[in-house]
Amino acid sequence: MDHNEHTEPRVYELGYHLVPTLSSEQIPEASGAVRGMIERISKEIIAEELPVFIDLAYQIVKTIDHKNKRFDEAYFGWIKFEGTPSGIAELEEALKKDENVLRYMVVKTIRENTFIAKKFTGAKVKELELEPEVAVNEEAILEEATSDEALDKVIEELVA
Amino acid sequence: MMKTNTQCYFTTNNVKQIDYKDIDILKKFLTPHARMTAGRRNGVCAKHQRQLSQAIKRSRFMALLPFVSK
Repeated sequence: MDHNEHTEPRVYELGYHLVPTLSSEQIPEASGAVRGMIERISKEIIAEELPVFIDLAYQIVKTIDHKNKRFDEAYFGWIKFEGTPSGIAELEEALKKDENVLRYMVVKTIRENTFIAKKFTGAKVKELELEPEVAVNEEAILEEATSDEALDKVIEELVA
Repeated sequence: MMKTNTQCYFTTNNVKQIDYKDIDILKKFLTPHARMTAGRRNGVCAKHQRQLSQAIKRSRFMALLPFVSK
């Protein structure tokens, strides 16, 4: 069958991982680049979720500058859009060349929302690792303040 | 193993297409070793079992679910 015979618009979804080496400030730029690739081939973007930081279920290996890099974490995002089969081939070519894209997948889907759960639940906060340090600092400050007045002052500062 | 559910989970929830990103739902149909459960065991109808297996495989490729566990 010739692809041109297909008159009904097809709905696709692109799921992608961005490399975790990007900082959270660079994410809008990197996801914007992916969105730009789609806008070039698509008439309409139906739904989108911006990349969120997640733990991967297994290690993904990507070759960067002839070296194998291993990643346990990534930013996962997805975009649902209307497109044509020839456009998808073009999109995949562009995605392969993008160094920020760790892995991607394009699937055919339906226009309606397919999520049963309310929101993607795999997200984790990147800043979580910093929390224990802050807790230790608070304890240290409290230990330093020996008198009751000084202690009250410090607690007020921490609460504010 | 006796079948516990007589009704398909996806039919009762009126699901049109099973999403590979819905990992909380997909995990219900995996064993602790991350293997898919059989249709006759989890009570999912044939139509949705085909969609479910496709969704789990997509999810595994995107590293949202593991291929093997433990």
